[in-house]
Amino acid sequence: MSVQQDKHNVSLEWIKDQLNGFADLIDRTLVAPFGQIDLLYIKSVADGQILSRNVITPFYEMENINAYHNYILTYPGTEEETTREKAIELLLSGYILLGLNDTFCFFDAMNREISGVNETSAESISQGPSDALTEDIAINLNMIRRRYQSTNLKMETMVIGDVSKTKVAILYDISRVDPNVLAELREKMNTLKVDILQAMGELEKFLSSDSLRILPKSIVTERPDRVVFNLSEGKVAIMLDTTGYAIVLPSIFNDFFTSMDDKIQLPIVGRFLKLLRIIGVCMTLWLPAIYVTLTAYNPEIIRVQVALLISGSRATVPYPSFVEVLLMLMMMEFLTEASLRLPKAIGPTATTVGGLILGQAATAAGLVGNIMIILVSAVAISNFLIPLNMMSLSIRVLKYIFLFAAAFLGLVGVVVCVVGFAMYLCNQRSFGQPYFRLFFLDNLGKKKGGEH
Amino acid sequence: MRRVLGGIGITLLLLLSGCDFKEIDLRIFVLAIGVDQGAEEGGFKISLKLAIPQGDVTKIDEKVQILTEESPNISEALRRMKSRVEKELDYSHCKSIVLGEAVARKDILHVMDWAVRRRDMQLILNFAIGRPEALQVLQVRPESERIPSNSLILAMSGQGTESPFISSVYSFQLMRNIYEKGIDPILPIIEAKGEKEFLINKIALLNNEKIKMVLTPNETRIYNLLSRPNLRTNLPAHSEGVMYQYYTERSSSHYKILTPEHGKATIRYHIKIKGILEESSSPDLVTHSMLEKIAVAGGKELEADVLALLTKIQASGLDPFGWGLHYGARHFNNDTEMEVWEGLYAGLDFQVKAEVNIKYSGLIQ
Repeated sequence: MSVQQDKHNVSLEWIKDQLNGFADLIDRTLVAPFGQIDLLYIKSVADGQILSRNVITPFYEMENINAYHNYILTYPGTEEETTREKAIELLLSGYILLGLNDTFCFFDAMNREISGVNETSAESISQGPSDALTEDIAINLNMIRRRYQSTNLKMETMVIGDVSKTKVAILYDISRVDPNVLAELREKMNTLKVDILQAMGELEKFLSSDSLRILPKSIVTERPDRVVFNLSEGKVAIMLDTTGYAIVLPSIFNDFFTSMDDKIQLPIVGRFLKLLRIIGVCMTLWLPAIYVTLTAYNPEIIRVQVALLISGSRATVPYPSFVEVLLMLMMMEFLTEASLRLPKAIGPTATTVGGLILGQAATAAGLVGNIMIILVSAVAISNFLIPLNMMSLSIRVLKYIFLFAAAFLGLVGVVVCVVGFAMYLCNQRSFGQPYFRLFFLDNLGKKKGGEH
Repeated sequence: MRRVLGGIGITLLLLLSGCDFKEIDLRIFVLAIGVDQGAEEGGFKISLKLAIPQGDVTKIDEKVQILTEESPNISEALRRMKSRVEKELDYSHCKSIVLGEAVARKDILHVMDWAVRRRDMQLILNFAIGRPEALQVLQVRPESERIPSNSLILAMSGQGTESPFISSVYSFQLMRNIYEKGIDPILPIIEAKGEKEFLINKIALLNNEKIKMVLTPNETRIYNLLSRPNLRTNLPAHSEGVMYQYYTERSSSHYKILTPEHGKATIRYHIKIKGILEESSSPDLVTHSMLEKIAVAGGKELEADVLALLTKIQASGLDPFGWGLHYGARHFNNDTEMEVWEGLYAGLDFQVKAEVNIKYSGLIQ
């Protein structure tokens, strides 16, 4: 069992030299009648209780040093490693170095300061599980394993970040995953060179190279059930220690409009909800542009009654309609951002002040039309129908492109933009998968869990 | 290569001319145009009905402005009117053109041509004849009207009232009927009854340029029954000294032009009506067998009315139903068919068969 340590490689002196300046480095020698051991560990990452219960107390109860050595080796986390780099890494992650006679052992006494399993905050649904992924990868993996009990669920781990040494786990169902995707992902992960990796978004950014892209190509989610659902569809999930989120890829456009509610509700209700979301996206994208087109270029499209209504509501407005729309949309963006940043206790104030007073006062003062206020609210509300935050933000930005096209070119501009947007969507690929395809799986019936 | 093609495509799309940038509140919408004869010979008196939008929607109060200008031609009159308002005149929402009766009795071609030719006027605006003058019709403001000129739009489009006496004619239809061989145009007549009311219950039959004949309200209804399906109206039936009125829930009419080798050419009309009894002058119980009798009597009366209308139209030499077109479409002697038809027309015979089915007496006793 015991392997002779290479004294040339790992020595206590060398390690101590490397860890010079660590105020929390503890170096002790325990002496018993039959022999002595050296203890070396970093206090802040090692758990003192585990140390005293599992390492120190047994030492004084043992009869000789070999029995103690064998006892230490029975722990599953114990390692006997040879290289210098590995030794430092283990110490930094909370292992305890035990010097027994001439050999070294690394005893797992990692101290995990974890946050417990919380409820989902960004992707909450009305019915269904409310557990969110935690910041500890072990708990996350536990949550996934519990929901996906199959031997096909494979996991690869790696460490990314020269300084942060972030643990990354790649999960996939070997029987369903597309090997090309996996190969491409591995290649990208291996070439990744960063110092600090702290957020899922960063990793996502590294994985997709195109810097001008506006649409997200992988889902960043905090819901374990979404991860499991996507694993069953043959996708790859990437989990990062200390983040609380998982990336799912390859993701197509349609995936961003799937909420976990859809499967909980009755099929017709689920489809209706999805339809609502799609209508919502169309509204939030095109409503401002269409308003500008209809008021400034082509009022003949709408009915005469509506035309007169808009004309009447705009009678006092001094600016052209696209300035009016832009002004109100910016106001709305400020409001959304402000209420996000405000502390929870005064959050509602922003909505009251902004929504009620601003809207009311702006129309009363004649700076914007009544219909404009309705429109801006509709745009704001329908934007929040999108279940995933990243897509929601992308759509929020995209609508300005349509607005500017409408302001400068009228209906022709809007049509050109819609055609261009459709072309752009069709042209996109997410890890080799067509981005704009309707469903991720070709034949929905064959694989369970593939129902949208 | 693809990228270049895409780029070229988008550039070409962007070169398309859209409309001009003009804010909606800087436009003033013309909702109806009236064309009357001017004081000078050959001149026009053009009236525009302009809608003035209100800022306060809660206070419903329609505001209308009517501009009138005389000129030897229509375009000139419109240009002159531009300098009488502060906003740009916008004709895109113009929904009706009313021709004064005097104009319609003289020549409608000029006005029709102008309305169809102008690019910013839609081809789906309603043409009508105004009595006594177009201006008077434009000035009518019904009490129930909330949006300027809305009553005219609603009445003529069939969105509002579903009167069996109204038939609307779009400008594209008018043009088509004028230029097409074998069909003659019609136009509804709008009569102004004072300041607050109008009456649309007659149609005028035109040859290709002016009014030839005006149908009575009853004839107008029969005309509508023959020219469109599911006309909702009441029709009379007299049976055993009692007067009944039935409501037509469903109606359809078809005709065939029969040209036997020997004998006269005949147009055979077949009208089917499904009705409900609506009114009876006697309080007696109406049984199922009586319903059948009433239906037969009603059918007879309808046949007589239809036949009278058809012969009247034939006597005038007009063809508002498009029988000639129908004949031409089913004969392949393309060079001569219309001449043949003209020869046949005066000697046409009519057969009318009305199949009335009254299925319900209206009461359960």
